[in-house]
Amino acid sequence: MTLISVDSVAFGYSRKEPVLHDVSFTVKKGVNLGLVGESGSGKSTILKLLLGLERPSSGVIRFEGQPMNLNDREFMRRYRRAVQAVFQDPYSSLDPRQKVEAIIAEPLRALKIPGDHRAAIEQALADVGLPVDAISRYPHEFSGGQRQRIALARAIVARPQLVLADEAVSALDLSTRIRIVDLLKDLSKAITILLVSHDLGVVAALCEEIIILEKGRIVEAGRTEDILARPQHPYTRKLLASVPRMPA
Amino acid sequence: MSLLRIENLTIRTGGQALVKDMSLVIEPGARVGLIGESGSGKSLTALAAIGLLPPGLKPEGSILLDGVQVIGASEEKLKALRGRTAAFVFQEPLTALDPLMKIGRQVAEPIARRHRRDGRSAGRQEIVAEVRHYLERVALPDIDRIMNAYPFQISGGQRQRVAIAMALACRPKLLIADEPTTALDVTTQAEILELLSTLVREEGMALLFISHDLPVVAKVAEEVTVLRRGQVVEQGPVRSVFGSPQHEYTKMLVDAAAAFDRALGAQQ
Amino acid sequence: MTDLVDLQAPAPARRTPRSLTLSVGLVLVGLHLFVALLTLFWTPYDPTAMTGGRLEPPSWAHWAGTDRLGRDLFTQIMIGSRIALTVGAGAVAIAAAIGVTLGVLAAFATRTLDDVLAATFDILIAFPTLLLAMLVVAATDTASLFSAILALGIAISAIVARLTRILAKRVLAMDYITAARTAGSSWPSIVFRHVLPNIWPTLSVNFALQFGIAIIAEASLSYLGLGAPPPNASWGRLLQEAQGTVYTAPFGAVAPGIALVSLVIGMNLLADGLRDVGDPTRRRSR
Repeated sequence: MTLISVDSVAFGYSRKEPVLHDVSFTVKKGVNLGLVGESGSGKSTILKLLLGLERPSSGVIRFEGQPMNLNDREFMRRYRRAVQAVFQDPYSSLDPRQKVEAIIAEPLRALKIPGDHRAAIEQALADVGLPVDAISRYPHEFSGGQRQRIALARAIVARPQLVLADEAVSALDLSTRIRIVDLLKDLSKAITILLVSHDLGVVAALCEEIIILEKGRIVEAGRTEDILARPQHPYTRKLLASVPRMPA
Repeated sequence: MSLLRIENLTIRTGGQALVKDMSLVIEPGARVGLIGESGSGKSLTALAAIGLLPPGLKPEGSILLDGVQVIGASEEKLKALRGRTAAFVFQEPLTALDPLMKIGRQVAEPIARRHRRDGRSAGRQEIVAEVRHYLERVALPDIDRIMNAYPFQISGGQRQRVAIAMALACRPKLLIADEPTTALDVTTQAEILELLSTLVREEGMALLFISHDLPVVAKVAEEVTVLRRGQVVEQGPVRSVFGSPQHEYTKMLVDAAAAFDRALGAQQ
Repeated sequence: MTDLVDLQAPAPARRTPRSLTLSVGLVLVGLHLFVALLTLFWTPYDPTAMTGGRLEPPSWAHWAGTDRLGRDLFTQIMIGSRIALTVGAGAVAIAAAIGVTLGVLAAFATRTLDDVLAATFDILIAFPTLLLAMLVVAATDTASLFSAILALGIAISAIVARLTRILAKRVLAMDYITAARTAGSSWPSIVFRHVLPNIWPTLSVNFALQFGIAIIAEASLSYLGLGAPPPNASWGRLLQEAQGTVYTAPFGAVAPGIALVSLVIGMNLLADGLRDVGDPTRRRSR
């Protein structure tokens, strides 16, 4: 089932220099999608558009068939409830002055979701593998990996359909990274994940589908195993060959 | 004689030991990887090796760099060692370069310094020729343009090449590279790693390559030391440490790296 | 979870060494506050009554001596505390209300509006506080305690606005603001839940500093005859009155001077000490 469809979307801060040209793809429910590209590929711009932080210069983004409209409050409330986000730097993405409880409660409060918020927060903490007593502590009392778990708890507390993850494991140490990827894999049984990353290894470990971006265009898209086994575009081949591997 | 011989190095701040009883030997021309995650003390070890520890951090033990004891050495003595014996390449080339100085002049500085050190004065022509030589060595394109550019006008990969050129210009016996590719794109990283391996081999320098990324280290190093919370957990040739890790921690790191490798499938 | 690295305890937060600063500041400001409140109910003498000879030196009967009309100077200085604190609090409250509102507005505004507001703040700051205050007092026609407070509040508001704008912009660039937006938070909620709490520690320190500046500025206004008119015993007016007799009766100038300096230093120390109290990342973790 199609959750989000991006249809011929272009974007540029000025007319002369578009950063995104005619990009189309769909996000399907239950299929983790990886957006892979290097700096200048336009992957962050796509993310901003999907987060509703920018409007496309042309083209349409549809959510459950309905065109995205940032001015339609009712639509945006529904959209935000369904689409949450996790960011790269867990040191900057948590308000240092809020306790973990207030941080995780933010979507529940902002979207005026009824129900027992405390119970929802405790469940989210359990889902990301943090103890319940984390609730009354501040972000600075946690390590980088733990902070990213808190950020994940915030993203899933409102039980969204899709989590947009922006380089969500890139800033973490290897040993932490693999655990957060495992956690994401676990969570993706219930929630679809769209991972934006420059790291093919992480994307390959988590996503069933991949889109390869270069200079604001999609150069290749499809099932992860197909693309890894038989890359068609020269850029994809170069990217794959550039990933350092462990010695055999 | 070993180029760098660190023995029982302990670095303390307050009551806390950030590096504990660490030993590491680098022979001339050897390529050594220092692996560790954040807080492992890998960068501190490298800074200590050239006497650049921030104030408040106290090293104990012995660090012999080209036969000279670094711990307790005077600033004068250390200055002579830096550059001639060891040169540094940092993670973020944008902050390592002076933003207000043209690339050509920045590269000229270590060259002029080396000439002064050797007690001979080089003419402007001669220095410019050397700048060009080193920029060519790091395979930068369009050297005329780059010499007249400011750091913000060139790409991240090009900046890192400039930083490497500046380190080369010192003609050091040991090149210390601290996460030199972490801030770069994957394709750029591959190019820089390739460049570093070639240069080190051709110039006969030793390399101390610091990184948290196992496969990256495997690309450039022959031997590795794995640090965890300031302590060496494993040391040895890359193939044996990565191929049959002995320590639990190393095993975990190798498994994690291998998991991402497996996800990528067979090498193209 | 028996993780090796992920769940390792973070380094303990640094212990705050500023408790002494904060205590001394609190004592000095507290003393002035106590005296100020006390004057509402009791003073040693009637401040306007001639209770001794002219220009008497300090004695047991008159701790700070008497002025040229034979009034008790200590009583007047005590009342001066009340006026100083009223002016400081009033001016800072007005400056905070105007400055924080405009500063936050500028931080959120479109590029053009932000540029206009930022330029306005800079121009206002370029005027000396005192000059600006004099203009306001002149505009309100009669010098009163209120006109002095209003004048100083407006003059200081530009400084507060500029600082607020810079601090708010820095906070708005953080990922947790983007996270709040994508979580569905409205702009007002972002301002009150994220921006203000995060800029508050720096702002409150600045408020305490501005409090001290307002007190000095009020003393200067009164010294120039533009502050609170008699019978308000502003320290500035006491200084002005003592000017003519500073060689024969130096204590008339020294005593209000000590009062003024002690309160301003107290406010500054308090400002420094406050910086850490409101910041959870600097508090000692259990």
